[in-house]
Order: sequence, then structure tokens, then C-alpha cells
Amino acid sequence: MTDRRYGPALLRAKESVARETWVLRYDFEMGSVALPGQFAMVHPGCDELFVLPRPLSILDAGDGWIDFLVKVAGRGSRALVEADLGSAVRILAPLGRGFDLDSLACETLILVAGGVGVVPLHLAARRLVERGRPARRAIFGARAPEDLPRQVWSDGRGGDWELWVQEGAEEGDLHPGLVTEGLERALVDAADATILACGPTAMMQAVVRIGRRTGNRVWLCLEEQMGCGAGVCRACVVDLSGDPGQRVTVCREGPVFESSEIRFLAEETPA
Amino acid sequence: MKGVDLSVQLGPVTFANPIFTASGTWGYGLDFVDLVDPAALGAVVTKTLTAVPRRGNPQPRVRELRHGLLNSIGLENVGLQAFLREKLPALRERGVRTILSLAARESGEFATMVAELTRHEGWQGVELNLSCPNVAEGGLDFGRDPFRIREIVDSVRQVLPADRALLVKLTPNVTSIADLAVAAQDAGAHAISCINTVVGLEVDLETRRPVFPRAFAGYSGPAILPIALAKVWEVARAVDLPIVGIGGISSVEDVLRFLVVGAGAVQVGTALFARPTLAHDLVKELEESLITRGCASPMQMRCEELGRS
Ligand SMILES: Cc1cc2nc3c(=O)[nH]c(=O)nc-3n(C[C@H](O)[C@H](O)[C@H](O)COP(=O)(O)O)c2cc1C
Repeated sequence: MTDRRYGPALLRAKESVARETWVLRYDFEMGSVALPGQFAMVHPGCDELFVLPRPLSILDAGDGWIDFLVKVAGRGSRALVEADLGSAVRILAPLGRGFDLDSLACETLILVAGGVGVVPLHLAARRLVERGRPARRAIFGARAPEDLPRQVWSDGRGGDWELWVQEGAEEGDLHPGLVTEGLERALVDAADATILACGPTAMMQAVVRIGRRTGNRVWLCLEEQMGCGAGVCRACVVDLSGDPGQRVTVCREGPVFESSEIRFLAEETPA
Repeated sequence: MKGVDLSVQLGPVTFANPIFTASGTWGYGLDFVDLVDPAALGAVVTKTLTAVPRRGNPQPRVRELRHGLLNSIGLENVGLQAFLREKLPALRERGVRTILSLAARESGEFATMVAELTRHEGWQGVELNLSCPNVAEGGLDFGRDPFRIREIVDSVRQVLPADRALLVKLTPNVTSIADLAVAAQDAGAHAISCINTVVGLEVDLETRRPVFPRAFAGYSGPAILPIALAKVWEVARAVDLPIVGIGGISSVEDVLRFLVVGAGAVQVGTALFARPTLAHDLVKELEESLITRGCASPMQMRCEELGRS
């Protein structure tokens, strides 16, 4: 088990990086290095207003700091991005099972991310570059150019990302369409690749369908409504494949699973 | 002033302090041992256990509202046997004071489960969950019927070892919770746990349907605190048993409120999701605030109007 820490954390820096999207940095020391896909439960701090903490995937972390990418989606995320510098939240981290880069780094990897699903894959891309085994291709998709968190990639430490948008692709380096088109193309000259994906459910289902058709393994970082983040409340369960199929929590046994492990992904009939 | 005596007696069992974790909100007591020592709590109440494992309800299972949480977990649990095999030895080794929450499909099953328990060491009591709103056969049917409660509590008392506590957890979703508490007392319960979740429902405006497939869900958290206080007050006026107050606790003031309306101990639930160490903090804070108020024990917070329990 990774060495979790729990406690108050001060907001140290915040930067707007895309439409309604911020990078937040807190002072927080974890007991172990975060694996890509691992997450934190972050409570905005006003206990009168928020019953639950928010699960946030770890964007990056280092000596005494932890970064998250937050897109405003409701009251909780709004409170987090609107908080003043120096204000406190409570963090429990790192949580869950991340991408196992020790074994994955030996393979040819294609990363596919949609929206805030970029967070775990951004960290994966960085760690892979550090290991000298960069991903063969990293593909990111968003609705429009305003939704691209370009600053996140600006230091180049996560390698090059191919950017896809559904509207407004006129800008030079953007591809028009869905990330799945990028994935199909990438697979042409990386037929043996393993795919790591995170994004909206429909996107992940489409990636799984492609992987099944082409025979490529797919690892996913799943999202599910959580209560505790520690496996105790049983809110975020998914069924594993098989009969009867063990019921596991996304927060503890996940959030990273191989697609064939998960019943609703493994049994879905091809579209 | 001398230290405060935080200990509380439920039937034959003494607990070192009156702060327990509520069933379903802290697993089987072993999931945060890297952060806090579960043995420092008055007791840990396990997730409700059934004779055979239960898979629980389909998604969605929780929905956060502004001041509370709706859940429809459906009593997913590892089953009594797996608990006894895989969890109880570790709890015992750590010296955790453990209360097993139990649910059954029919009334006779409670006594069968408790009889099975007598072959194991390392637990201090059982809490009969006669009040889960989230399963079809959830105990709520017999949990609303004083006659059936009497029958169940009586059958469990007959097999329960003399040195173990018998708590009965009641639902607030009835006209008279006092009638249920009186039935439990008559049949020999040692304490009344009150309350379980309040029945609620959330709507999805897009689909124009209830959010949860079973429509109803259990409401918990700060929103239900005044409801729980009212139920504890009602029960305190009807029975002489110790009451374990549950519902919406998120601060030491909330704990004190329960003590005033007649609780001898409390359980913390939903607030543990936001603060997994809250129950531990409350043990310390309760001691401090009792000292500040010049109380030598939690009992001294009790409202005079209720008399002694
Ligand atoms: C996610 C969740 C699961 C629960 N599971 C159980 C259970 O298995 N058995 C039980 O007796 N009560 C269960 N409860 C009810 C709590 O034990 C408690 O009675 C109720 O939530 C009110 O307290 P609170 O407002 O502090 O949470 C559950 C509550 C929640 C939120």
C-alpha cells in the first residue's frame, strides 16, 4: 500500500490554464511518490457547505507540493478554484492503484486523453520521459481550442502531444475530430502498442472497442461518484468480468484497470 | 479540576469513551490504521453483516446534496463468515472494541447469526440493524413492528453471552419511534441506537425520474441532525436504556447536543468521509469541552427534564 497522508493543505498557487480550468498547487507532503492515476480526496474546507471531499487525480507532485488540474463542474470545484491563496483544504493522498509504469514502460505505449482525463496521462507521460522510454504517441482531445490546457505541456517534460478538437481546428497545429481518429492512425505504425486512456465514458468505450478490434491491450483510469476514497463506503463499485464477477471499488482496487477486467467494458458488444 | 470520566456502560459492557463510528461509514474498522488507531475509539460498529455476502444495489449509489448525503448502497458486505475469518482476528489483535452490526432476511436469522458468533472471541456487542431503507428485505418491515422487534430481541438475548452488549438500531421513518424502543427494552435490549438514515429521494430533471433505481434512498449528514435529536429525545422520555445518538454529527457541539437530549454515547457517520480522523478528534475535543463546562462525565450534560437514565 502506498503511504497515505491526511491533513490540511494551503493553496500556494493557482493558474488559469483553459476555459474554466485551473492548475492548483497546495503545500502537501505525501509519504510516497504518486503513480500516474493515483488521486487525492480534497475537501474544500467549508464543512457547512460540502458533505463530501472531491476526488482529484494527481497532476504532479514533488517535495512538499501537489498539483491538481480542476475544471469547474459544480459547487465543489468552483469553491476550490475560487479560494484565496493561503486558504486551507484537507487532503488525503495518494490513493488508489495507478498505472504500473514499472511493467508498462517496457511496452510501446499510446496515451489517449479527453478533457480532464489528461491529468493521469500527463503524469504518465512525464514519468515515461524521465525513464527515457517516452510514449510512442500522446493524443489529447477537447471540444474547442479554448479547452486546451497548453501551459500544462509548455515545459515539454511530458513529450509532444497531438491535439484534437471537435470545433475550431483552424489554428495551425490542431487536428479536427475525435481522439479516436488519432488513435486509429497511431496504431497503423504501432500495431503492437498498449493503449492507456482516460476521459469521458463514451470516449473510453470507443477506445476499448478499437483495442478489441485491433487486438491492442487497453488500460483505463476510471471515474465514478465516490464517498470516502478509501473503499469503506462502497459507493464507487464496478463489477469485474467473470461469473459472478467480483464487485470492487474504483477508489481502492482502481482507478486504473485493464479494460478486459471490467464487465461493462468487456461485455459491451461492438458498435 | 480532575480529569473527566468518559466511560460509558451499555448493559454489561464498559466502553472507554462514548465516541463510536457508525455502521457503513468506516468499513470494518481496519481501513485507516495507517492514520489513526481504531482502538482509541469507544467502539467501532462494523458495516452491517448478513449471513451470506450481499452485492448491494446498482449504480448510482450516492448523491451529495447541499447539507446531506443520499445513499443507496444496499447493504453490500462480505458476509458474516468472511468477516469472522478475515477481519475479526485483526480487530481483536489490535484491541479494537468491536460491535457487529447485523441484518437478517427473516427474524429467526438474527439469533442464528449471534449463536454463530459465540464461537468467536474479540467482539463486545451486536447492533441489530432493524432499519435499513435500502433493501427490499432490509429489516425495515420487522423494524417497524413492535411485536416483531420484541420477538427478535428476545431470541437474540437467549443466545447472547452475558458479557456482551445488545444494541438495537431503529429507523426514524415511523410514526412512533418510542413504541419501538419500548418493545426493545421490554425484550431485554441493552441500548437503543438511533437513528438510521431518513428516507429521501432525489430527482433527475433530464430523465424526469428518481435518480436511484429503487427511488428511495437513505438521507444522512448535517441535514438530519435536528431529526435525530428529536428522535433521541422522544426515546429518552420513553425508556430507561442508554441511547446511542446517531445522525449528522460533525463537531463536538453536535456530540454535546446529543448528550443533552439523552444520549449516553454517539456514533459518527457521514462526516467521516470528509474527515476520516473526525471520531478521534472528537474524543479529545469532548474531554476538553466537558472540562470547560465543569462536567465530570458526559452524563452531566443530560437535560434535567429527562431525569436520570
Ligand atoms: C454510505 C452509508 C452506508 C451506511 N450503511 C449502513 C449500514 O450498513 N448499516 C446501518 O445500520 N447503517 C448504515 N448507514 C447509516 C449510518 O450508520 C447512520 O445511521 C446514518 O448515516 C446517520 O448518521 P450520520 O448522519 O452521521 O451519517 C449508512 C450510512 C451511509 C451514509
